[in-house]
Amino acid sequence: MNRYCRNTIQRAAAALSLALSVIVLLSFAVPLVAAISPLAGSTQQSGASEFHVPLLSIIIFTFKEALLSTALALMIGIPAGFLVAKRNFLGRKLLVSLSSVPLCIPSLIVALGYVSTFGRSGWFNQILMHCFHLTEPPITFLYSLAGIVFTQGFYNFPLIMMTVADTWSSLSTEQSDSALLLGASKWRVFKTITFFQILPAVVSSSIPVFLYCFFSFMIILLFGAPGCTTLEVALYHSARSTLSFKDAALIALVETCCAFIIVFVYTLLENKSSRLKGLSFSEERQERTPLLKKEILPASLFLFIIAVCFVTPLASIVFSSFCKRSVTVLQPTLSAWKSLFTSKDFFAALCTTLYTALATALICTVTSFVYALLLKIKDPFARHTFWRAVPILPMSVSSVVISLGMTLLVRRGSVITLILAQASLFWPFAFRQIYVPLSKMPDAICDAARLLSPYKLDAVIKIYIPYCAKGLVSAFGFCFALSAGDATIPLVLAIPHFDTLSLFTYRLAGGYHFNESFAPGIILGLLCALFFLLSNICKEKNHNVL
Amino acid sequence: MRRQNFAFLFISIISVLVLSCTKSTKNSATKQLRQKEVVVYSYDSFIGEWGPGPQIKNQFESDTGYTLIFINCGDSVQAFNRAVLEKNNVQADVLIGVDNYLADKARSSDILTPYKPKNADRLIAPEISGSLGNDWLLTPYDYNHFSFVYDTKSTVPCPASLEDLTKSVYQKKIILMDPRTSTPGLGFVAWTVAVFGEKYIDYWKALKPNILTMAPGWSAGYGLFTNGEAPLVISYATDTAYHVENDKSNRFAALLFDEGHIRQVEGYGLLKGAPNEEGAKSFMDFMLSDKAQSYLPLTQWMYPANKNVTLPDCYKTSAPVPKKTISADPVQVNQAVEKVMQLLAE
Amino acid sequence: MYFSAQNIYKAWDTVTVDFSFTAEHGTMTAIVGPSGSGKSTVLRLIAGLEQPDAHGTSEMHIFLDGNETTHLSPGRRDTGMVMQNGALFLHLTVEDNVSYGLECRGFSKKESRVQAESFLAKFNLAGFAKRYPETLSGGEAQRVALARTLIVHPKLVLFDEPLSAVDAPLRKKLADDIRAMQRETGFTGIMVTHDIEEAKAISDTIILLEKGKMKWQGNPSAFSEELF
Repeated sequence: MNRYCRNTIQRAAAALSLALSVIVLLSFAVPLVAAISPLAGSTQQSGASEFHVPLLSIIIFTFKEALLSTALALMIGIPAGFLVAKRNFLGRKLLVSLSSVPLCIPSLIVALGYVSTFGRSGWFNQILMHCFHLTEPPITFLYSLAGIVFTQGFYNFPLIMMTVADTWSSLSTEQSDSALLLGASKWRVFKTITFFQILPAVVSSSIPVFLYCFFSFMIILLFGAPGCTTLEVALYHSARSTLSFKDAALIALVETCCAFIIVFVYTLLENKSSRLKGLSFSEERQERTPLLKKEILPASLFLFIIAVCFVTPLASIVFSSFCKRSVTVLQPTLSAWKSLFTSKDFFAALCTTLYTALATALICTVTSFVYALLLKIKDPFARHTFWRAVPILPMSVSSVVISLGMTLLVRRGSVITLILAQASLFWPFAFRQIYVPLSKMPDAICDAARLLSPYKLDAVIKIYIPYCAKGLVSAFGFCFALSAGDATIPLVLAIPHFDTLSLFTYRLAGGYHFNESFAPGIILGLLCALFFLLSNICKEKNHNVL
Repeated sequence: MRRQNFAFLFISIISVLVLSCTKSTKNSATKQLRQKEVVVYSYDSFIGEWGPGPQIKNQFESDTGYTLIFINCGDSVQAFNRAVLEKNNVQADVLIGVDNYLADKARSSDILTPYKPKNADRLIAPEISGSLGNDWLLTPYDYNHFSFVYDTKSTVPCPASLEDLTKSVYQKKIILMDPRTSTPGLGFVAWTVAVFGEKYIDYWKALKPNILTMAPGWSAGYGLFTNGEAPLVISYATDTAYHVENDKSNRFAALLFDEGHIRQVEGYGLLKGAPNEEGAKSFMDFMLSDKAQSYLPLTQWMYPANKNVTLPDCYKTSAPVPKKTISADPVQVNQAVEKVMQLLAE
Repeated sequence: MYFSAQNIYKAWDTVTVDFSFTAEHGTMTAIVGPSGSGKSTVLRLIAGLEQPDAHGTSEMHIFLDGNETTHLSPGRRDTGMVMQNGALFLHLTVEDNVSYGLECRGFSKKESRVQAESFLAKFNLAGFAKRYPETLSGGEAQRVALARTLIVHPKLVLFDEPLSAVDAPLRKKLADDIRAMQRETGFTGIMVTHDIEEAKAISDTIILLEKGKMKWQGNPSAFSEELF
């Protein structure tokens, strides 16, 4: 191919990428404005106009459950990250492969997994009541704030574990070695040195966990005390049940502002702490070692807790998919899987999921790369706070808000509106994966690239893209999982002749066909896990590229 | 020159993508095709594989030659909301799933046009059609009574009335549904208003400690019940029949209370401005036919509005019928929901 | 001998380190060799930051001032180490970096800071106490690293290419500072470097390492470039 053709193709690709990015940004901004616009109107459309609970109480409760859940996820995720990064142990690969689960299995399915394990008639209570001849179940925390925090904390800890493990395994040992030589004990080294080095990863992973808990809906309603309301529950009620658009707009605005403030603070903290990481340029991975003798007991206990509180509920979902409930008894049967694989709807939903999730992931990756590149080039010293805040805003907005806005704007949803709506919300997650390595690219390399070719796009294609290849692959896998697991936006858009795996699963669960719903839920989880596995393999292969 | 080319390319791509997202102008070929379709806004349990939707669709298409398209809008309230949002530019022909507590809202939203299906007077009992108003904005297609379902293997005594449910022996033993997001939940609030009148809030104060959870929907709530989380759940009087038919067990019993029971009547209506009014009317006639109505008992687990339909054996042997049907004013019920949720949140 | 390292052995794909050496009290020994000759690994093995590989019946033994330190943890070997880039704790101020070792040894924060202040003054770093490492130049960072290492009075100090991160005009100054500190505190030093001039300037003994084996050992004045 001659130079002229190459230039033309490059320019066309660049133009398309830029255009897509602009459309994605507009697909966020316009529906957001539409969702909040009823505040400017003078009349209610319909429904009750009073909040039944003071808004302040709702805000306080929302923050409380989100912060507590995030704290628990951190308490489990950080030591788990250490074990995954530094140690070889039985079950390590299983734990790593389960890390994508939180993104894609519908929360109702996960909640039922926790009910069957820790519920009043769950495995634990049955065993304890049998062993100790009790008449009442001793474990009753599930239907309370403790239950919400427990479920959300354990359900989301893998996100923290993987991000922290990724960072921990590539940390330079110089600082910790110096501390050891100065007489610090290993615990002191962690407390005073290593923790600060992994702090950027801790903060970075806490943000999505906090947001999942902040926007949580199903788990709050199932396990919360009667009448328990978070901002998302109140928004859902106003926007989708009573059509109280003015209330919905107010709640959307308050919810978005609260989430934005938290995410903004987290991001400032992340930026401040990112210089503490001390990563070496080559990012050589440390070798993992077997558990040390004195670590065996505490690590075993810790892994046992994870097995009980995270793996068991998931395993019970798998187990239940091979059963049929007859009254309260589970009878083994393959009927759920048989009916799934003989259902035309399932295969149609699977194909739809694949192509919409692939399209969403591609658009998110392209948009976030374009934005990250522009930030790197135009604002290398991170001076323009506004442009840096742009990727934070979609993370602070719940999919119910965007769906509400889309519904007001676009009467009949289509596949394209679905893909754009999802991309508009998920691209910041891709951005975070891409911007971190791109921002660390030494200026000398950027300058050399500019000097060596008269064509600007050469630097983009030959230098910038390979440099953040790992991030691009991660971003793609992450957004694929988010899109595949999303049921809210497709449901609200109500696209005719359209079904995805998540909608298929949601419909089964919503129709009291739980055992049948576990099967597609597992397929969804496996699909996302596969993409994560592929992206991890690509990352391992590419980690020595530069 | 290069910059201009780039800008031109950029703007072209933006325009193409934006235009492809917007509604295209209908031409006559599309309009003709639309006249062969009947589009119905419905809810997931109706049109799911285990609901009556697929059988109704097959039969209707075979009988009339129309193509029936069910649009799944989520639950019945969301289907209703979609119709309200599209009021001036409705995309569907029929709305299905509006019950007697949404009927007033449907009326005031002015989204329906009256249509009385063929033989409706003859096929539907007056007290059933009267629940939705007698103006035929809505036509009933099924109904049921709300009832508590009780696990007969439980160690707690079987309650005999709503009042009994407030006793301390039932602490954390009752699963309800959120009245804001679920019709059984709303139905229970209506039930307490109908039985206790102005004193319903005192009843809820006494009941509060006994509520284990308020599930977001019937499926989640009933799923918790059959998982053994609590021995009592608000549901429908036909649930015993469901378990007898599917699980060959009468362990779960729908309870009848002397205070009377609230009835839910579900209806469907012709949307104002429906693109295919003829097709819609054809569907509405079909929905009341013996054939269509016969699919309902074993899929919806609701009584068919058509009184000529023979009920399955399990209904005759295992579905208790309340002696007394009571009702509450929908406006009062909606106000009660707000007050109840406020009380529970305290 | 004040310091003795016997049967140091570590094998990789490209090189195997296998040698022994000793050092007199208060002297500076420089281990020189090209990149990849295993120099930094020798220091890490002496410090206890890495474990030697098994080598037949020979075991590695490290003796310092009459005591065997082979099986002691790094913090208990009376050994300090100045890393190539200083390895300062980026989230701590200069003062907190320097006082870190004292706090680990049970000194109160106040006492540690008083001592830190005096050490900083010795290294011409008075006024730097509240600054953060990222605001320091290479030379300043290395002096802080040196102060941090020496404040706990280790008997043995290891230097991993201590001058490589420092600008050329400041190297001699830093080298002189290291020598002055050695004379004042009496520590025994072992440094690794690929820079012959650096080794000649600071050390009393040079060991030339080639492909992991000791090729030559002797006085800096007797060292010839041709050996390298």
